[in-house]
Amino acid sequence: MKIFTKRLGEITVDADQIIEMKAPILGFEQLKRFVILTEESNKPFSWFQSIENEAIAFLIVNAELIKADYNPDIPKKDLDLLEGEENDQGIFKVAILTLRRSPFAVTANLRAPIVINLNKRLAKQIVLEDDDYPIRYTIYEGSAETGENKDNEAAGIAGNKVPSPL
Amino acid sequence: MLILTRKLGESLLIGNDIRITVTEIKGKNVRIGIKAPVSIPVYREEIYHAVLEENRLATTLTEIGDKQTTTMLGKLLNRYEMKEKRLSEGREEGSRDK
Repeated sequence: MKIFTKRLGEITVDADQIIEMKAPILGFEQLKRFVILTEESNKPFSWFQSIENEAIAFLIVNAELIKADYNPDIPKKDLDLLEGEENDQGIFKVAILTLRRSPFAVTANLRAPIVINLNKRLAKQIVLEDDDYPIRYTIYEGSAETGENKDNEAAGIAGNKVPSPL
Repeated sequence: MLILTRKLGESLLIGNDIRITVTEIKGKNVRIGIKAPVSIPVYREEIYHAVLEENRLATTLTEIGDKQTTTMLGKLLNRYEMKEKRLSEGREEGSRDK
């Protein structure tokens, strides 16, 4: 099926790539279906793109890449909801990234990861009980020159449109 | 708002399948037990709002011009490619130890 996305234009998505939210991303209760879009040039980052609203896409990354010891307990009831098990290889905890201006920074939400069971294509944003994990975990602090450096080799964001798991 | 008085150990039922129980009262703190179907998420209100706000911000700020986003991603990538490498090296070291 073809969907239109604000960020990547028109893309083709197979029905079996669609991820169903078993509980909403807070504030986006009406959005139930997403797809993970990974561009070769931007790995390991991906877009968690809404199927229902072309303008909504979250920039996500596997939280373990941000914090190597990131291993929060996922409550049994949530694992049940996602039809997964403990130490399930199909379960990924991804952090939503926020880009901030002035001062420019990128933060990751480690307190409320989207937990995705890729085997079953089910997901939930889980708010962890453990307050050791911050909502705003800074992963990049830059200066205001963002976007000014014309020599930057970063590939165009509309480059390779490769829908893929994480 | 409906306001009811409960004693320690007493419960409220909301509908057929949600039970709220007062399990402990200690000074200004009240511990509350909640039994609800897994399909009904339970959140602490202030954390709920903080996460909701952060989610909204996450979607608006990725709408910074594409060029800026791209530049930022490029910088992050440089950093995380290195980190990813270190992670995998770490794993290899770990397995060597065993």
